[in-house]
Formats: sequence, structure tokens, C-alpha cells
Amino acid sequence: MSLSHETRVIRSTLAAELRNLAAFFDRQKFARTSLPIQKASAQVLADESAPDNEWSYRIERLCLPLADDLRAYPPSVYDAQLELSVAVCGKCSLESEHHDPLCRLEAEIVVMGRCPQKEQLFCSWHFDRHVDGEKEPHAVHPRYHMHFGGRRMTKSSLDFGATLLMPGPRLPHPPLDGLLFIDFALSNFAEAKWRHARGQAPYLRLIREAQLRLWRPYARATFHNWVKPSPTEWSPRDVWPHLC
Amino acid sequence: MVNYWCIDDESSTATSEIALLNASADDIQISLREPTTLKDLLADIASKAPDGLILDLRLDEVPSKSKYIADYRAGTLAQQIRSLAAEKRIPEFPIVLWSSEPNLRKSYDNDIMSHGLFDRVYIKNRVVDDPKRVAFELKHYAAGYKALTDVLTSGESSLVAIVGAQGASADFINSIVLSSIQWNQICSSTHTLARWILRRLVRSPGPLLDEQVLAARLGVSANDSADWSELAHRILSDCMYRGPFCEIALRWWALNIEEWWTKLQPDIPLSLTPPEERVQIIKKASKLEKLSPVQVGEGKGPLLWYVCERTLVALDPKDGLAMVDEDLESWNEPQFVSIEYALTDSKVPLQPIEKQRLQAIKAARSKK
Repeated sequence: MSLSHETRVIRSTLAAELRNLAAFFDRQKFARTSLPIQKASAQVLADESAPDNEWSYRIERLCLPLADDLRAYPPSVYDAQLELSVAVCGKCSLESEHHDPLCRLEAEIVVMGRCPQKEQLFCSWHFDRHVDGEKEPHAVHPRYHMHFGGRRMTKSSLDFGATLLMPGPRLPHPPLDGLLFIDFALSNFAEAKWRHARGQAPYLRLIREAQLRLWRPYARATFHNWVKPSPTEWSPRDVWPHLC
Repeated sequence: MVNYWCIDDESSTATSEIALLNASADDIQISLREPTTLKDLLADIASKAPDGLILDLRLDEVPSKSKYIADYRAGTLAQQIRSLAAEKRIPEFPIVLWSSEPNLRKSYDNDIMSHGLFDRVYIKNRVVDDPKRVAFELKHYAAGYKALTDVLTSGESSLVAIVGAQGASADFINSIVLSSIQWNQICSSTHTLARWILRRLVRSPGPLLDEQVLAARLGVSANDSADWSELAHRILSDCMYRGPFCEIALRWWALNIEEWWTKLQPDIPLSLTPPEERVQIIKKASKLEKLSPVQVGEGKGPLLWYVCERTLVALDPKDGLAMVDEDLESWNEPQFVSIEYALTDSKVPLQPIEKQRLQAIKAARSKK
């Protein structure tokens, strides 16, 4: 399949960024192996199943031991680990200022640990891009939203005690690709690693580029709820249905 | 017929092992030679060109029938051969080492520089345990060298073509593996290429999986599944590694296994599916009934992906500790031991990050 120049440029840029992120993880010894990120890098470059005007990759189960990073309840938790998975698909457009930059997104943050009473402590957060036409939603669905729980918890055979698991609230959040998702997870669950990473120019450069691609259109679409006329095709209420 | 020379100063003890190996396969002939001077021996090797060499580690211990005691060891001889082969003055062939366990411990284990010279190390007195296997391996090391020599002579220099990778595995090799290695240097001789394929691909997990890890990833308890062999060898035949040395070690392409799974279940990746569901889906697709899922122990994670290198128990990554191996590439996967095993063996070389985990686990369990 012959790809357009634009597609080749975008896919190879993303592949290089993921490779650099994997190398950064290897240097910092953040994870046991950066292979899940390396696999994603190979995938985005060579994905023949993706349409010409799209890119996609999947990072599966990037595992980071958290050592003493985690503050949690019960306080006796030990051997905490963070496991990150993301499947993302975006549009190959060098001029993506005015529309939603992604087509699909599903990501999961899993935090595991142990305590003296239980060998398996577990919680997960699910992040996704709402797909139009996928069961008419009853509750509000911001285009990109995050909620506590998700399939890893509801499908788990673990006992969650008195915890009540619900599909909401779905909290709006700017879109995340693999880089931004990892950065988000580090910033919330591995603060020391995140602060260290944010002090490193190569890491910062990767995150800044990803924010420019994904967050600028998002911020712009939201901003134009109040500033008219809007040059963007992305409606503010699609981004954030609470706006009025 | 594959012709090996065995160079050993202890000819009296080596004779019986060689006879056993020769009797174990029709198509291999090993002849015993006593060490001569390095110069004479190298000239002999260059002119008669055996298909492979078996070297005793300590060639300098026992005088030969002509009362000659070598002033070199296997490492020196192998280094000379590899250097001459690099200059194309000697044909390339496999060199394997055999020695007694105490000699290996004393003179080989710490001599790390010489490890890259040998394609395989055998403990001499254990060869009798499975002579057929050893003879089979020797034959296929020689065949692998010949095939690689032919490939390099033909001018083929594509790693993907040499190892026969396809689909996602070929993509991974092209974009990740090749960007991390000096491929031209690796291709500079049959030995360096053979060594790279054996060390980085065949013997280390990553792009290729061995049978135990394959079973763990599919969630199948191989020992309890009469149809396991049928699944691994027939149904997954297209995912099997068919490149150089494939006879010596059965391997499957990891990413092709995941591609195969995605065709069966496009929605949830293999790694995020519990073993019962993995086996249920595989049984339905393969029409193989006699497949049993791995029974996950109480308190253990269900998303099996690795095996404990010491106990061969299938592991969810959260229940394993990754070992350190500085010699591996970042695209090789670390090898794991279970937490239970690591608690009983303080000598396991763990990654620093995992040592911290183990300490925390020990401290917490001691308070229980």
C-alpha cells in the first residue's frame, strides 16, 4: 500500500517519539522493560491495516514498580505496581488545529499492591474517547473522559468489599496519546519519577510536542465557546457537554 | 556426513563419550585428536576443514602419546581459529566446548571474554545422559553454519529474510532491532552472525518465545493438555521460527502469536485476557478439545505472560521479579523468577528496582 507523504511523515515522527520514550525509560530504569513502547513504535510505522489517513498503536501492560512512590489506603500497602495500557488511533493531518485529532482512544491505569491482609489490592481508571452512536448515553459523555473502575475492575473476580462501582462520573480530560497518557499516570501515581522526568529535556520535548498536537485543538475548541466567530470545526459542547 | 574433530588431551576418557555420540546418529562422525603445536593444529584444521570442533577446555593438562603437552587452552585455540576465519584463511564452523564441571567453574565461568567464541558448552560427563540430543545438536550447529555461510556468500543481507520473519515480527525487526545494532558488523562473518542469532534471538526471549513461555501466553497448561503439541506445532505452525538453528531450539514468533490471537478475538488483547477465556477461545477456533487452562494460584494475578525461569510456573508480571542481564538488548525481554522462588534464593540476580520490591515484600511478610 502506498501511503501519502503526510501519513508517512506523521507515522515516522510518532514512531521516533515512541522509540525515544522507550530509550528514556531504559536509561532511567523506570520500567522492567520498555518493550511495550518499542512494540508500539514498530506498530505505528508499519500498520497496514490502518487507513491511509490514520495512525494507530497499542501499548500493552507497561509495568512500573512504584517502590515507595505510592500513597494509598490502606497505608500498609506494599509492592505497589502501576500497569498502563493504551490503544489509540489518530488522524494523519499536519494541519490538525481545527478538529478532533484522534479517532479512537481507550486507556487503562491499573494500580496493584499487597497488604498484610490481602495478596491482591487493585484499582483501575479507564479513559476513553466517546464513540458516537455507541449506545445512546444516559449520563453525560464528554468526548474525552475518565472514570474510576472500568473493565479491569468489573471483569475481575476480586472482592472489592463494600466499594460500589459505577460507570460515572465521566470526568472530562484533554485527549491523551501514549506519551501523554504515560505522563498523566506518572504525575498521579509516581510523583518522584514524574518530577525527575519533567526535569529532563528529551522527555519534556516529547511531551510538549504531544500536547501541541492534541491539547491545542482541544483548548482552542473549548475557548471558542466564548469567543466568536469560531474558526474550529470542533464544537465546544462536543468537547465538554456541560458548556452552555 | 558431518565431520567433527574433538581435540582433547584426555583421550582415554574422551574415547568412550565420542564412541557414544558416533553411535547415536548415523550422519555424524567425530574423530578424536590430541593437541599438537598450535601452528601444526591450525594448519591441519585449515587444510582438512572439519565441519565443526569440540574442544576440551584444558588442553594443557595431560601429555599426549607423543609426550607433547600443549601450552594453550581451548580459548586460545578458538580465538586463533575465529581470527583466521575472519581473514578467510580457515573455513567457518561451529566450535563447542566440553569440559568437566569443576574445570568449567574454575577456568571458564569467570573468563567472560572467551564466552563469545563458543557456540555451546557441554559438561563432558553429562553428555552420556542424552547422547542422541548432543549428536543432534552438533549436526544442526554445523548445518546452521553452512546455511549462514551460503546466505552471506549469496550477498543476502536482510535480517528479516535470513531469519524468516513475517508480519508484525518483520516490522519489529526492521524498525526496532535493526536500529539498535551494527548489522553490517554482525554480518561480517558466519560466526558473528551465528552468535548473534543464537544469543539475541534464539536463546533470549523477546521476538522469539520458547515453548514454556508460549504455553503461559496462551494460558494453556501444557502438561495437562493432550492437544498441546497439536496446538503448538500444527495450529501455530505459521508462527514457528524456521530460521537458522531452528532445529536446536523450538521457538515461536511472539508478535505473530499476538496477530493470530487478534484474528480470533479482535477486541481484547491476549495479554489482558485471563487463561480460562484464552483457552476457551483457542479451543473454539482450533477445534482442539483437550486443552486445559493454567490454574492460577490463590492471590496470584491471572494475566499470565512469563514463566519463572527456575520453577517454570506461569506468571502474571505482577507476581514476578525481573532478572538483570546486561548482555541483552532493550528489545529482549527480561527473564523472571516468581516472588516465592526469589524469597528462597538470595543469589538470583535481580534488577535493582526488583531488589527494592523484594526487600519490601520480605519486610512485610516478616511482620505477618
